[in-house]
Amino acid sequence: MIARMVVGFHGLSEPRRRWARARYRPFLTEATPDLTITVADGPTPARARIGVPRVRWRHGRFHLAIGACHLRGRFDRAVQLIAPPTLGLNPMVFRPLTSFLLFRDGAFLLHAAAVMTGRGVWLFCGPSGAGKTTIARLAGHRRVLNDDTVAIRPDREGISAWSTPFYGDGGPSMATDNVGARIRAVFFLAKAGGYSHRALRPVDVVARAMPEVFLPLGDPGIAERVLEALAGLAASTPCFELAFAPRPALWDYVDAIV
Amino acid sequence: MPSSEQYPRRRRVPWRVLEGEALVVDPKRGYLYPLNPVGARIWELCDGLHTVHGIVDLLVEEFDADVATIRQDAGEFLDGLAAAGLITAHDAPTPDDTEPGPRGTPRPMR
Repeated sequence: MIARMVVGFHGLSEPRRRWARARYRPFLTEATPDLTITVADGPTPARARIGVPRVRWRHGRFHLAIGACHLRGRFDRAVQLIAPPTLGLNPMVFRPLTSFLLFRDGAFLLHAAAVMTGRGVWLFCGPSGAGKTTIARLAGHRRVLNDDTVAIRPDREGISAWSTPFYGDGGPSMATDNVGARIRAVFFLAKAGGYSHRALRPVDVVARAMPEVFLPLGDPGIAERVLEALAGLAASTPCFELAFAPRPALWDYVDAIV
Repeated sequence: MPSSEQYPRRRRVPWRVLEGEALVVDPKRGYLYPLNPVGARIWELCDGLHTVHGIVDLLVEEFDADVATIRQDAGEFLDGLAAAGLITAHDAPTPDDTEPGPRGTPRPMR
């Protein structure tokens, strides 16, 4: 279960099933799946290149291609994942696949670290190397939802961030809880020698966040919904650019901003 | 770009105007185009109803600028939009990933 979405898998061999249970342990649930995916082995390519996922729709059927892996079907009927045996539920494939499935509920995956306190979730967004893991490692007693990828889910109460199993350089210790909460503030990271921040205009927030969404190519409807969700986030949440030095005092600085 | 021609936006191109600026997404190629206020206004006017001539007239009025400059800038901008495949135009060049598209550099998305 990720961000309240429950997906079941059929057809996994016993070794792969054991591996998946160990890899995604905090996210396992006994709840009834919203969607069940049948997994089948596909050919192993000479080069395991994932690339940018692409989706095509035809007469209500979708085909999401993630490198050599193919998710096909209809959400109201059967969905099948055909993937090389070593790649099926590998995070490299499972992450874009999860983002695609979350779009059904208007949710999506964002390249960001998330840290939860009693006041809500602080999001730290940026590409690889921006400092997401560094900030998560400095979080001390605060609860880290993830150091690399979080699920964003707009709902009636507002926009919340949820933990995911797709941790970054911080490793499994950065994805031990399956929890979520309202987003309190969003920071777009810039490394610096000291600390400074500035509020961002909504248009700049959306322009910076959009490239960090795990968005497949080829689906204008999904892009439209993500634009809308990010515009809503930018309008309802304080958003900043944060220049920071990787020192423990960082969190004193962040706590004082919002 | 003939001044009597109309250049409607492609239907399946998501976009948003926020505080007078626009963000246009090319979902096929994964590009995000941030447009400044003038670009955003031109984009809004690419509705299939306004001709280039009509768009220039409105911009001159709204932005209090010199007509020759506006005509040239708007023409170049519309050429960029057409080259990026974001608006429909006759004889538009084939979209190419290396082309800069409308004003500024498109940002590749994940």
